[in-house]
Amino acid sequence: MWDESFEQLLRKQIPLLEPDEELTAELSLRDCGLDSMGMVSLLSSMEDAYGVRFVDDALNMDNFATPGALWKTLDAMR
Amino acid sequence: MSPNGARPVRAHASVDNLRTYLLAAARRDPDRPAVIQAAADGGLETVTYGELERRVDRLVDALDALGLDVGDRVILESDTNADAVATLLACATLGLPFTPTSPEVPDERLLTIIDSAEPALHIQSDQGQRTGIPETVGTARFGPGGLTVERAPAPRVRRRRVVTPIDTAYITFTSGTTGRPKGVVMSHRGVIAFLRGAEAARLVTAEDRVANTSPLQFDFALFDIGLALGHGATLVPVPRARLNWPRRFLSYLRDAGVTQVDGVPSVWRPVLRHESDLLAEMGQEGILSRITFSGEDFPLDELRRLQELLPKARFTNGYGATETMAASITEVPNPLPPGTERLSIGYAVAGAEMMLLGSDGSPVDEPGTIGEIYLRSPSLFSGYWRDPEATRAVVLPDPLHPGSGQVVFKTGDLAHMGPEGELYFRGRVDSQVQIRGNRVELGEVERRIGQFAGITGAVAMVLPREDGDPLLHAFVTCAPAGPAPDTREVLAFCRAALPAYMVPHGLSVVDEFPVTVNGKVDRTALAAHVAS
Repeated sequence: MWDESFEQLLRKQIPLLEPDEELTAELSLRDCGLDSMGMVSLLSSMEDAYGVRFVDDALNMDNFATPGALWKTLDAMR
Repeated sequence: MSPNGARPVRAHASVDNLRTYLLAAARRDPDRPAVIQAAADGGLETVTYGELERRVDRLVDALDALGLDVGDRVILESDTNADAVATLLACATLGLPFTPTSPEVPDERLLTIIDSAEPALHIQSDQGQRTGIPETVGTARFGPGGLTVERAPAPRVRRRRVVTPIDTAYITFTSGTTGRPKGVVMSHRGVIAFLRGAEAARLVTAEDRVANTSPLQFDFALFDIGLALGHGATLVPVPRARLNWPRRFLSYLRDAGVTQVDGVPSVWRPVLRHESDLLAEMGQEGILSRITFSGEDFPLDELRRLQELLPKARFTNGYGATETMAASITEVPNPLPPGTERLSIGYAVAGAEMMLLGSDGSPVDEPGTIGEIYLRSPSLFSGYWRDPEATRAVVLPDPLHPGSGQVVFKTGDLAHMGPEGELYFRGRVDSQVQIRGNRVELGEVERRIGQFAGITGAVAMVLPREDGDPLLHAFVTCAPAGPAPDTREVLAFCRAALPAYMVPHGLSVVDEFPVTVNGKVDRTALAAHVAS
């Protein structure tokens, strides 16, 4: 399961998820307002926070589709 | 041979046809690269002009065998690549108007376009995922092996023998006020007249590699294809998966040896925000010699920043509507002089002329006074598909010589004149807006939202944001007794029928819409509602 920092950074980019709503692993991030610009911002903030660099192959929409998929991608790089 | 025994339909080499114009370089120098594109193995592949022409001819033979008549529509659904270009040139050869669309277009919107265009055939790439094309429409795929027909189009009678320059080259569907996409019908003569006029701007040489970043259904992509191939240069389509990630976008440009990038201003925003060091490196290398942008105002702070990073590049501002392909191509000084408040849209391309008229119909002669742009141009579209009334509203007798039978295009764009007669864009006469360079009729967005159960009224508008990325936002009123609609459900409902750029980012429920003294919805008051 992800840490607090991950959830905070993610919530900043999904304006349509209310603060009192639970962030679940299978949530559709696109439905919560994550667009392509938001994905790039999210990528940048994750790389800064975790001191990692996403390799080219990790940069695809599928890895940013749900919190679960994104955490899995990030966790594999740490 | 066609079923009625006539010779095959082709445009004579002396007659204007998109194929002849864009493949002229294939005759002069067939070994030059026409397209550099992403290969299946992750690397790059080059398709020469000679190879492109062979692919076109192979597709022409396959399409010709289907017995379609000049004027029968073909939907071409693809990302931009060599085979998509070959397919549209094959359609042009046979006088089959193509309607470009892309895999991202939602099913419901594609079906609306099919319902309106009544195409004979839908063609997608052999990788295409689209299903559910109505039975009345033939289906086929293109790929390295040529054309594979899945469902042959219904048999028809060929009445035409010749592809003329006034035949339709393509129909592009843009946002429409009535809630249905609006088809802009462009002839071979029109598109070639524009591309010839644009040659005078000398944007491209045969040595250039021009990156295309706009999807195929956006006519900016047709401009890129026309500009690159028309000059014997090389087209470099940037795959969507690369474009979305600034790092991958820039490395793709570098790997493919791109010298020019065409795109809407917003393609640069994520690059400026997240990969400015990498871009600065490329700027120092001086490989990128020109940036051409169009489709919306370039926020000047972002443009200045881009120029700082690319001090050796030239910048070009393209302006104009799909109805005439474009209107003007204007060099932007690098760096922008201090104090510049607005970019010039200059003068019309060679062979066309812009004129400002006041709301009373009289010419505006004084610099600084706002008027509407009327354009006289040989690239004037043929009309809106199946909408003569809308066509009549914008194709008008020449106001200066109404008896001549000549017509001009009423653009709906407002502008003022500068001291040298150059123009500056000042907004729209209607509620059309540009979102990431895409033309959007707010009425179409409002109509879709209004169809959601429980919503009684909708107003969509673009809200400025401090970080420069404007947001499409919707305000709705609801049935008094009903529950407030779920924002995410409403937006998903929009996404099912509208392209991504037309889907609002947020939704606010209001009790009623504030109105101005004229009885119109007070958009300023609504915008303030969100700010508070």
